[in-house]
Amino acid sequence: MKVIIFVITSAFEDFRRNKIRTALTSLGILIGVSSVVLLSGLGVGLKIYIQQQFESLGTNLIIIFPGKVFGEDGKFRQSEGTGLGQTFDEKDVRNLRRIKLLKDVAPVFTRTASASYGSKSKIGDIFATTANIFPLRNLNATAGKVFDEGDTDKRSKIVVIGKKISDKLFNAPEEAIGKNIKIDNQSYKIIGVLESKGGGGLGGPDFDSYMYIPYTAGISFNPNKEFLYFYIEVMSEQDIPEAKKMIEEAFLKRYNEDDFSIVEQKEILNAVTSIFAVLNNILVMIGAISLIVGGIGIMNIMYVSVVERTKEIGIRRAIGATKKDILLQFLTESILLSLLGGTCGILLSYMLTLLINKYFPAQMTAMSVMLALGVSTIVGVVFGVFPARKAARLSPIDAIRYE
Amino acid sequence: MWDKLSMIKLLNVEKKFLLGNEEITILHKVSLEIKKQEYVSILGPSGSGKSTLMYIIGLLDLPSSGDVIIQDKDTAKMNDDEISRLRNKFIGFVFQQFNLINKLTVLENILLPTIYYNEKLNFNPSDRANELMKRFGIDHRAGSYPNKISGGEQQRASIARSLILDPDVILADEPTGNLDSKNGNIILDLIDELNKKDKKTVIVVTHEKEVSDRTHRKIVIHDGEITYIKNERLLKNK
Repeated sequence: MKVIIFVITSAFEDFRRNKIRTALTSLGILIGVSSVVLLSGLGVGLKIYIQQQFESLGTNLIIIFPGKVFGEDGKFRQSEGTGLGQTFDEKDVRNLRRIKLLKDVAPVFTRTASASYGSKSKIGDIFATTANIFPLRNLNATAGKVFDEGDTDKRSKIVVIGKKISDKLFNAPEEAIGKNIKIDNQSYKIIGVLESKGGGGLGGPDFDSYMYIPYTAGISFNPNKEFLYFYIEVMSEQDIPEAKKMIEEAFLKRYNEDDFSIVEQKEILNAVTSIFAVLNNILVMIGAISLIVGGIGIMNIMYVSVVERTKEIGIRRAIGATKKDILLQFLTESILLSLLGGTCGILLSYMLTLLINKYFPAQMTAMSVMLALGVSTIVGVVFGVFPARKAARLSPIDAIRYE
Repeated sequence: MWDKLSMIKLLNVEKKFLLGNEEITILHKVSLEIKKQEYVSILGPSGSGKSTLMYIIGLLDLPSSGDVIIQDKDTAKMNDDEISRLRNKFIGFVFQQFNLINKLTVLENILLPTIYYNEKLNFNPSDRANELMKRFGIDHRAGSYPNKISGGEQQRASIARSLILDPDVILADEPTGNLDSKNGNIILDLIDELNKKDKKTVIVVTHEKEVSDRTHRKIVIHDGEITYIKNERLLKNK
């Protein structure tokens, strides 16, 4: 025990004497640890971000897509032609509305369109649907109001626009209300502006650039009354499996098994997060490579240190240090060197996480900190053991004579 | 039957080195015995093998053949750890180069053997170190680093280090080799004292006759062979 305490204090004394060498040697570990911690923190943040995005879409949600979206394994299917060209129609809407377990059914037709007001314009997506979409997807108006069943029935040429469209075309959401904008040359009156939903920044759907119109009014964009998918809210979460079964039965009367997918929000979430998890793991592994490089740096400097301190090793051996004492001394030094880098790396990634957090919900988990400290220790042991063994195996007589 | 007074016994100790393909014998079947509380010098010119002999007595080097027996224990039967422990407890080294660790203070250097002592100390090491520093007149240097103090002070620190664990044997290798005559004499007086006052078995390795004249017995070594043992005077065990 007293050897360990002594070894630790003298190692720190050594670090103090060789500040630059110590800093440069532990820099490799610092970079490795901070990149691993930071990347895994980004991964955790990303997962939370995706979850939040999905939750904001509403709960107990089922989406019916044309074609087969998922394979047997629950991952996105890679095969070609999944439901391209396949659409649903009003008969499906009626069939779905007959299922009692379904609280809301919103058929959706969507396509890209340009919105313009005066000289300003913005590209967004038309979202032709029923009034049910608003409660279904937790959409609330920040100004004006959303449309209702009556508007759908009346085929009113009205639109509820996303925040980004409003920001682009008008100075304030309130200003947009009552104005007529041109959507691909058709005039629509704005009755509401939605609260921001975020998204869009990661290549996903940009919900704030959507323009919601009653699907009856959007016939001009969709003359065949075809729907690309259905948003369905189920009465309660327990009803989801039963509801899926009933929808499937209804749809199988009109379509082949491969022509449609009934997907729970949870399934999409799992599929998306599993993709990001793979990506994140790859990034973390790249970070881990720099840890190995850092470890080699430590090993290198420890070998130099053994040679430089040959005489010291000889003196210690002469006055009674065993091979194990010498091994312990050098091993402790390399572990401390590595831990020093690791600790600084954690501090650095903590600061970077705080910084990134302003733009993205990166999170540093206790797990990643523990892991980083553990890995630093292991790196110290693995890359320190060979130089330490060399030191311990020096013959006392050769070492003490070394000049 | 083991002689109670026997401290160190060498039996037919040979040391050979391979230099290229040629085998060089540094020590030829050396046998000698050093008794408890003896004051012995090993005298010989450079290259005579006296340093090798000292390193073998000091358990820093192993003989090619022959036995080194320390207080009735055959060191050939010990493993490296046991030999290290024996060096730690049994022998105090005083080197020509002082061999203090420069990054440790004088006090830390003196305390160093206690760090490697694997049993419970029956004294307070710091008190003991302070006592020794006071005795050798270097207490004002406790916090200094060895390369910042004079050679004489460094050697006194190394003598203090050799005594910290109260070993039976003090092994001094050319202790005045790096000192001027004034400081050299101070050190030699101290070494005399270690035998006389501290009742240590003292072995001094030297090439200087004046140094060896102070000792009670001279072992003269020449070309790896002991040629002369003089002034044998056994000190009776009290």
